[in-house]
Amino acid sequence: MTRTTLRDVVTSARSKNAGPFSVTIDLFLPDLATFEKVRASGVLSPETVGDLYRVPADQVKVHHFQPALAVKISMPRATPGGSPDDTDVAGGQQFAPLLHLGLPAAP
Amino acid sequence: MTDDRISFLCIGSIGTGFRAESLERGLSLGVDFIGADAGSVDGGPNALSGSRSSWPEQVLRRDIELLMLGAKRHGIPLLIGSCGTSGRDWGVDLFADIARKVAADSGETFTIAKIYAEVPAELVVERLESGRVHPIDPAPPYDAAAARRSVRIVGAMGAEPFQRAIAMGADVVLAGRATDTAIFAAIPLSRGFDPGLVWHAGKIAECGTACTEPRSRLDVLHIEMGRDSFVVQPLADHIRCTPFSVAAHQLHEVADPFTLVEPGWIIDMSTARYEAVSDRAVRVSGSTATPAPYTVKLEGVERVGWQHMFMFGLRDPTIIADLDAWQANIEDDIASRCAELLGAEAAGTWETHVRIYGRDGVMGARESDPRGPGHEVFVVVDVVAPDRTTCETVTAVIHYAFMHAKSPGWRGGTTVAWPFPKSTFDLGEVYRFNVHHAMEVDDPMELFRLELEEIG
Repeated sequence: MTRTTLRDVVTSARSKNAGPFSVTIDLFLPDLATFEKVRASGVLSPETVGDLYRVPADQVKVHHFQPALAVKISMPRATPGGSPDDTDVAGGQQFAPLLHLGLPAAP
Repeated sequence: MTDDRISFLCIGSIGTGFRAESLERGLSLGVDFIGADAGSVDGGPNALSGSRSSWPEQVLRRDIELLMLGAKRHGIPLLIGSCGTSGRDWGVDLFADIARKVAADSGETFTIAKIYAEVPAELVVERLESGRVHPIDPAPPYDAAAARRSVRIVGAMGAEPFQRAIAMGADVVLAGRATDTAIFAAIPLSRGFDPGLVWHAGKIAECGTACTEPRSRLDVLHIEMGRDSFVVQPLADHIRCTPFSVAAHQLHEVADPFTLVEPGWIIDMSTARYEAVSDRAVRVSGSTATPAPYTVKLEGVERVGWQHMFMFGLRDPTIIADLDAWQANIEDDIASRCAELLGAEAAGTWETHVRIYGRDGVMGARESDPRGPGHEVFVVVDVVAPDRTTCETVTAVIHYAFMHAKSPGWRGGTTVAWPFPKSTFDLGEVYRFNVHHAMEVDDPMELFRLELEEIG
């Protein structure tokens, strides 16, 4: 049986700078049931996200935003936006690693 | 004044073009003002440090002319914020020049207000020393030396400078750096509309039709506000607002979707409600605003140095099989070559960044994917040095090292795959944002200089 990942369930994913010092990721889910399932799974906790991006968990903020069935994840950028050592000036591709996170199998 | 209703048109990004027919349609509905955002920090620090506007002057002129003449014809004010991408003084002057040409060519007269937002470093130093500059998490370390290193600092103005300009009789306001929302909040606030609704509407307004679906290029958005809610809809038929698309915009470019901090206000959007009015219009209500200590967010940039870059492809499977070892080998070679050719004391005055696309070029140290690269790899190398001459010299040495980097699989070896005959590219002076702080002010106008001018 193949593993279910966030990529299999999200309807849309995006990331963008939130000012020059933060990057913010939005994952959109298809319905309230999936939204609640992802929330309950804990897969998008500050700890798991922090491990994945190598950012301390206390710097990762996770918000569940029901009006848009979205999970928003914000963290400090690796370097201020557009600095000479930046690799993603607008932060537009920073969401991608999250898509590979596995979800627990349906009960 | 206690109007029951106010409506306005929202332009999300002057200089990227919007549909003239959408503007006409919006104006024909009878609106009270046009607001337009011209700024962004997403392109990095260069707009603030001194490069040109992000958008071509021909498109800026086209957008500004349509807006000025449309507003004039309908007798309503036009408010533009963050002129010239960064909102530095140069941007205000650029937009004022364009406005003068529009006035001269059309034979119309206008009263323009120029509001300058650059802040002297010494004022920031004084406020730092009196404990009146506060970090906005996440913030870099910031002290008097950092403020003095800044080549330019701007403050993001709130609603009050726009209100002052309108009260003084301006019909076109050309503001330097402003919070995106303040452009749209100024007039509704001065007419007594609910601050929670007003700021929430400003948040939706600031990107024009980014709150619509399907996703398409930015166009003109229409907002009509009453006493207890506002209705938002696009003016082009091929896009629509849905409760989902408008709610999703509450997430746009903010770290926290529930709280908006504006000069003098904190807005709680956690209680916002979104309801469909039709298949293309959405009613929004429920956000609340609370007065807060008046602070102005600072943006500043400091010079890092001069940057050159070069790039190439790899297809040799023996290199791709162990990129880390290949890279380490070259870095050793670079270190010894630079020490020989440039002197040991020069080491440490420059830095290089090697971005290996196929491995971790996009994510850098934040990459966690264990899969190796595919059959080819792209490499971008840059060098940052204190000045142009050092940068050229170091880049040449490093470029040569990569040109003759050994393939571990073969005796001898050739070179990597250069996509262009031009070897290295001069990226010029480079900068870094160095402040993410809010500064207390004695008066909302304190940092901003307002000049009225009759044109045409």
